[in-house]
Amino acid sequence: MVDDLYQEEILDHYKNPRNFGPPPRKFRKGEKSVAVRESNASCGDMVELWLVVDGEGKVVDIGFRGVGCAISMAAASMLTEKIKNEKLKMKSIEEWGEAEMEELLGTRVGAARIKCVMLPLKAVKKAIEEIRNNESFGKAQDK
Amino acid sequence: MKDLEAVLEGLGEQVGLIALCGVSNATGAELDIEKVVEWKNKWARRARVLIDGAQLAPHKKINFGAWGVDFLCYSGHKMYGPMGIGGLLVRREIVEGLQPFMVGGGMISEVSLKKTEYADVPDRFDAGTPNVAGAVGLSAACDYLEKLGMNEVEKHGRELVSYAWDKLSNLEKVKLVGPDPKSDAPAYVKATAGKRISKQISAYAQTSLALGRASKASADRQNSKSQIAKANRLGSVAFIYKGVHAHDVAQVLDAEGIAVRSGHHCTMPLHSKFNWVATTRASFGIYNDRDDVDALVAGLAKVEKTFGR
Repeated sequence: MVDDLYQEEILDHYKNPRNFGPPPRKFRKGEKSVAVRESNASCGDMVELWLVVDGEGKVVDIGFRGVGCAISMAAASMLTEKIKNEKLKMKSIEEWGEAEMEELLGTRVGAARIKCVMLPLKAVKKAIEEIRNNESFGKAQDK
Repeated sequence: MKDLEAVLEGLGEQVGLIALCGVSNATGAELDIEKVVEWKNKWARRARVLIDGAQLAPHKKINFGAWGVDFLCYSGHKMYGPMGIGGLLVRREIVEGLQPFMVGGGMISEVSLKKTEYADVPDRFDAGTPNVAGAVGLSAACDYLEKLGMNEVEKHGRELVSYAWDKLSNLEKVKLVGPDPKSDAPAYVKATAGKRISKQISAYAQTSLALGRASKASADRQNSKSQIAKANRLGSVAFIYKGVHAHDVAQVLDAEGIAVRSGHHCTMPLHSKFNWVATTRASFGIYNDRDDVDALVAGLAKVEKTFGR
């Protein structure tokens, strides 16, 4: 299991995380940005994640910073990469769960580590929720 | 730990309860209980002393009366007994004056419509259906440890901790936390050097850690002699593997058949204080031996192989 878990791709994302860094300073018209912080208290993993959404509810930019185990950091890197490359809509990301995250990582992680995998997704969902809570934005466009 | 005396001196008779871990579950630092009682008698005579003995009971004889503490609690599952049961030792003069906080069946001697008279200690604290299976299991665990002899158990534990400390401190990427078991003086003596008074009760752990670093040099000098560990840590070693998160260390070790605990160990404030993201802890029991420590070291080589650059 360890060899599956620490396969080359995961270790590569851990050692060279994609989209690692602060949010941009400037935004295009109609874009909305939000930054959130999410942590797994029991393990000390923490991710600060930001995302930029356009007027149609698509995530056009995303990034993170954080400290944590190889699994949580690789998951954050892989998740942000997928969201950014595919410009996913907020609504489709909200439907993601454990199965999608394990598919993204290409391995089953087991009960002990699933919370590591879910940390970045929790952060993304929290960010989306914050955007939705902003009344004037996102609601009408993303239906 | 010297800081603790400063706290007691500062607060004096305002202190109601001194509650401390007999052995830290996070760092393995061992408290000098008799010293705490001595300081209590000096500065805060009215205070009661409660020792969390969960990490103590499996490794060392509990001299409850001789230590002069008022309360000591422990867990069954940490001393080879069943889960879901533990014990609370209370000094007789105190327990006889205590009233139950929870009521239920089997705890009265006499009840009328106007008055309730509780049963004697300990029945008055045992509300409802007792956990008989747990109690029998815990009793068997006590008998088992008694039969082995707690002095032997303690000796075995200290020897293993000492061996593990030696082995692990030779590894370049391992940073051990907590006091050095080879340090030639007890924690409270060393800690006086240049330490300013801190008003935090938790500081005893900090002091022990500072000691761990300060005494490295003296430990190095003595490494050639195989010394038995001094009474400043017991039962476990905890460490940080540089560049690899504790969960990843634990996962690789797990695959090698080595069970360790990783994370915050329910001491998040301590980890925050020292900027430890997370630590890995190897705990030793009566069934462990040097081969297990060697396996741990070999397992860490696998960690390096997986994560090393």
